[in-house]
Amino acid sequence: MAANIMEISSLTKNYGKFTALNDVNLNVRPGEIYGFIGPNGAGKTTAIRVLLGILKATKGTATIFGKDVWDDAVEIHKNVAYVPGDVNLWPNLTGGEVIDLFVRLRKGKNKIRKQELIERFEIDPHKKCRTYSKGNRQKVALVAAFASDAELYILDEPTSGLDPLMEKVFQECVLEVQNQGKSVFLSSHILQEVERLCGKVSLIRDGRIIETGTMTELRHLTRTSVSAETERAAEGIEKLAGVHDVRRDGLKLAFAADTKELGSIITFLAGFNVVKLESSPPTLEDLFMSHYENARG
Amino acid sequence: MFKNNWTICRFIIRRDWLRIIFWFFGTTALVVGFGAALPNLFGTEEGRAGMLSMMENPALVAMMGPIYYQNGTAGIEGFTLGAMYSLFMVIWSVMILAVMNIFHVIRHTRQDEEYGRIEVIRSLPVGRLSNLSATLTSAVIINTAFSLLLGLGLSAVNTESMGFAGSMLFGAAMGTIGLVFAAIAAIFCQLCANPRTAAALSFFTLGAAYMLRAVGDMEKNEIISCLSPIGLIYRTRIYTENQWWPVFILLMVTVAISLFAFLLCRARDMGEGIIPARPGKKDAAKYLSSPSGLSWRLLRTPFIVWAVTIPVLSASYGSIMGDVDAFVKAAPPLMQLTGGSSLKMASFLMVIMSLCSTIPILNFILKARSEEKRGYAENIIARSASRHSQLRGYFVIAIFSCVLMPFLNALGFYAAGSVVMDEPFRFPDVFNTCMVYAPAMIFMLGAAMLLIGYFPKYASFSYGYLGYAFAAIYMGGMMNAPEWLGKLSPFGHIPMLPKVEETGQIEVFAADGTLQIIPEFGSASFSLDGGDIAALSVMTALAVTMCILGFIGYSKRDMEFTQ
Repeated sequence: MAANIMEISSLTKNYGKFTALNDVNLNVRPGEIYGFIGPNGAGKTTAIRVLLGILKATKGTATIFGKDVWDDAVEIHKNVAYVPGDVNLWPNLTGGEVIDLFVRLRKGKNKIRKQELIERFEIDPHKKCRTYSKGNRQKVALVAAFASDAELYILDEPTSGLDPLMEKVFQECVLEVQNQGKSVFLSSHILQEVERLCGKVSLIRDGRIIETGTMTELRHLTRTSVSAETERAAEGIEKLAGVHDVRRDGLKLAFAADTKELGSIITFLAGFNVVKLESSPPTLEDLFMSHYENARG
Repeated sequence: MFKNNWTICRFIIRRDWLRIIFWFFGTTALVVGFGAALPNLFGTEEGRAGMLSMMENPALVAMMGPIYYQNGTAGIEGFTLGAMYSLFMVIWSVMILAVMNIFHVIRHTRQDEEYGRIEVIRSLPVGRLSNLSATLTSAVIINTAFSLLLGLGLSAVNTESMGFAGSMLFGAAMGTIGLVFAAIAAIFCQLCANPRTAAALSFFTLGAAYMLRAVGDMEKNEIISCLSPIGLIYRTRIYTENQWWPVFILLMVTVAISLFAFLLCRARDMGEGIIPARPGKKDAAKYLSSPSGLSWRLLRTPFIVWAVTIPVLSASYGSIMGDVDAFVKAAPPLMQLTGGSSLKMASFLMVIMSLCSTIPILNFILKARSEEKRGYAENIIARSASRHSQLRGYFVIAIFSCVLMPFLNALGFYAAGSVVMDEPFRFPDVFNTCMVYAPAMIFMLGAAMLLIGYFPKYASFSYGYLGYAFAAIYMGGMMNAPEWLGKLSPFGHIPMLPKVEETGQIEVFAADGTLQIIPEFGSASFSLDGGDIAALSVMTALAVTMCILGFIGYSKRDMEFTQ
């Protein structure tokens, strides 16, 4: 495996007494779509701004392509495409002008790709940015990002203003760049999106990383909810390892199962002639919620 | 069509009452204050005579308007304080009222429409034309109040030859011209699809009306002057013959223009203009491919506007040089400032011009900070552009202006001065006189850079520093403030050219027959001595150091946003 594209170790950012980032560690490998999830104010944008050399870290190191994000910012940015969460564009420039400017600042020249993306995202490039809605400004930034030929795409809540159709176009674009072997660092609080796209995920809260792992690893930590209906009452299921919170309604039953025990539980149930079986895998939302509850409790 | 006009009108006034009060106070203080100060400034006949000989100059007639005399008696007899007052104040008040009304109408029609507020209003049970009619109704109320305020205020001052009838006419004329421009702005708000174009065209019309009357008055062509609403306002001959007919004509014109605005408003969709918005550029121009290219793109329009405004301003200063000799001796505050020397007056005008032309320089460099604050700079720095290159574009434009602006000052002052003066200055002399201020301008730029680099939150304090420099020069000149106050600003260290030596004192008879002793001056020198050059060099070196420090600070710190 090649070296990490992005490495963050013990990164801390203080604003006076306030700690925005606290000992953050994170690695992104080539070709990976990395999800960075947390509620508003968790420190996602601060972390990204440090990664882009816009803010200076108080402690710790962060490197992209093996170079320091502060000292070699300009060099790094030649191969990074970035979409900010809050896209602020010059009100008196048109969308088309802004896209050109952004692409040229990375020394890119890809007219055909620009035109193709403008059509896919359905932007009117003739309009001044002041007339764009939040979603349209975001689309301008996305077109500029995907029209550039970058190695790493840093996207900060890129879909928060997009409609579902555009979200789909966005996801296609992300998967396209992944197929080309590029890496994506995607910050989001839209969990479905991260679930669909990301191989690896970090959860951040109050400036700390509270969990990191692949989607599969994280799912193992949680329980699958199962509901079933059997011909005979499924006696003794409560005693099985990994079964929790059993509720019965006649022959119907619902319970939560540890994901790693799922196989043996299903085998056990089969003995009672299963009529109906539904299992829903844990969503990232469950994951997130359970972490919050832990933190609160 | 007009349902709920009054409700919206009350709402407009409630939203704006504080703003209206500020306009009321500011304008009244200026208009009435000047009326009260006039007897002290030009109480003597000699003073008025000095002023009259200056104002008869065609350049000043074009700028300030035609001179009208009490009861048509030409000469100093008829040039009463009232005649002088209306000559000075009509154009200023017209400009203030016109600008206020243009802003008022655009804010409550086009701008609200762009912000989507009209959409909310229109979803309620209100007429299609109610918003426009309510805006114009509020303009009528505000301008009527203004007319009364100015009229009564001026009558209350009770200055000689500024009677009640004339004062009320002054108020009414100003209210009327306000309404004319409110109606004109209303038309443009229907024609254009965005508030900036509407404002630009309204101000263009204001400028055109001013130019039209300037040409008419200079050529003594009454028809041309009366085609302009501003020209018509002059024809009220306030405090001399008090004519009301122009006011009535203009009120009728206003009604006609407003009706036309309503017709246009009915004919268009909300959010659209009668003239469709021009589609912008699909692709960026060639030069828009670097941070510097972007800063030029963003500063291009203000740069051009300033590059035109500054020489016009300095030309207007230059145009008073014609009969300035009598003028400086006539007005006591100017006598105090210049000792009665027109050359000293010229060098004082140079400082003021230089201070004015420092405003665009700070403007250009502080754009870098506002780009950062609004989050636009993030777009650039997050791409392969260094902090230096982000700041450089604005800095280059600003420092270039530190040389360009003094040059434009010299050009404007020289051009106008050589027309009106009997013995005009040589251009190289005027050039030197203006260019000595370049180090002070770079110093101001350096101060702004330092703030941007290390204390970005306080970057706009550099405007405050410039304001202080203004105050220090004025107070130093007119009120004998201690010298060190002036030395706190770089402008206090600039050797003022031309240098004139006091060679002795002479005795003259003043207008009232008393004997006065005034200083006598030798010839002017436009060259700098060794000490001056050393001072300018030290200032430039300090200024450059501050600029470099600014760059260093800017590349080392966090970007700071508003949120």
